Amino acid sequence: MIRFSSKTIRRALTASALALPLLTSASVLAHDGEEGPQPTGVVKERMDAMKGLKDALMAIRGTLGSEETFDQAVVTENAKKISAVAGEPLLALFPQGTNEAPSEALDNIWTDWENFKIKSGLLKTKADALAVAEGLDASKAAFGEMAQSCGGCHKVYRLEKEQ
Amino acid sequence: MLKRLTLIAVPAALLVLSALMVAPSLTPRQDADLANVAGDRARGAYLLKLGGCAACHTAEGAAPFAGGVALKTQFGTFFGPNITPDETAGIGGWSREDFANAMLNGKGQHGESLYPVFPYTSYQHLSLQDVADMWSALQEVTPSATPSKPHEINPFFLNRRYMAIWQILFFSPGSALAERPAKSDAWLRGQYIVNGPGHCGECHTPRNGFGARDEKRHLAGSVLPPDNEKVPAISTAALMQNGWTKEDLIWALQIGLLPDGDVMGGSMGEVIDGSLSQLTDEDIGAIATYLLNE
Repeated sequence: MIRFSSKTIRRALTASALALPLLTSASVLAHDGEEGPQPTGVVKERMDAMKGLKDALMAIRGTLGSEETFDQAVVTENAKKISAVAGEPLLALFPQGTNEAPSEALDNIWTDWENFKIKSGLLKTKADALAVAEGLDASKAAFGEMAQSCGGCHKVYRLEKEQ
Repeated sequence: MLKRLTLIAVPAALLVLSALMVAPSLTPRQDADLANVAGDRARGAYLLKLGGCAACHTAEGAAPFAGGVALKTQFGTFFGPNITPDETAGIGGWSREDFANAMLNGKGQHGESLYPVFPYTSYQHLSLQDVADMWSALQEVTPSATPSKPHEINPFFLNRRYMAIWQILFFSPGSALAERPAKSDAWLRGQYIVNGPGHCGECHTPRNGFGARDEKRHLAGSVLPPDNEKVPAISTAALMQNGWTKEDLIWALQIGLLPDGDVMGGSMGEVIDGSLSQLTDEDIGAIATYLLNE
């Protein structure tokens, strides 16, 4: 029978106590989907641009809750930000074949480029319409249409990630 | 000993199976109750959107409700049939009672058991009024002579008798929603939409090996074969745990905007385009109320 000295036990406990935060942070990272390769180059630029679009969308959403929260200036400013990224600048972020991990871009972007171009242009049109919409109801309607144009590309050209 | 057991068990099982296969449909039809219900086309048109019918019955760029949309499953590929009022290609030869029998009891015009890929396992909760309204709206659809595509499935399942057995094992017609709990009108409406016409559980509730929903894990999320698309859990517990507010849900359902600013693609993007984005604010609010159990 093997007997452990109290020193051995203490050492083992210390080691596992030290390892615990490491394990926890690793599992937290895995939940956040941060594991795997980190984006570089144009993939990183693209993901940063998408992050910028998300932030603009949430800024607009934040004001569209009610008449009390509604802020025309916030809507207009963020719609212009989205418009500035949509269309040609967005297309430039998708050079042929740049979909190495962790990119979620699908190959059909490049086999179906003309349609992708049209859809990217549609986002610009819809963002411009939102920038000139006046009042809560009109802004809400224009915001919904613009979001649908985001989804229009995500449905066809994006790898659906696990949630 | 084992040999003797096999000698008895195999014929016995075959006997039971054949008895099930020739058993007449035990499902009572609702023909008599339907007789006094007048359908409303406008309400029906809205219900067709609420039911997401076009998702399976209208192919991209093709005539509305002329069928042809492929639905891939682990059992093979099914094609949504033509449900326009065309006499031969569509359901022009059906009576309103036949339609109700399909929606509520999962039976075809000749009493054959339908594949549950047609979500009668949810539509069973529809009110007779709603079924009548949908039928009225379908009468207004332009008839299309495009024939329905034959399903490309495991030949074993082409024998509808096996579907009859499936129905005996996994489907009991009628709606348990009729027992109304003491909840707000919005909650009750949400419960009806989510479990009935909206058929959310068809994707968000996991299925067993026979393709039947596991209601013990209602809305607990699933993985859709054959592409393993992950469908998130939308049970109250899961939504609360992930910090979803009613406002978050309403934005997500109406325009696909997630709480982090992302806009949904995937199958849910299609559901939003074809159905949810066209619903009234009241119905979207009702769905959110029910899902969050408010």
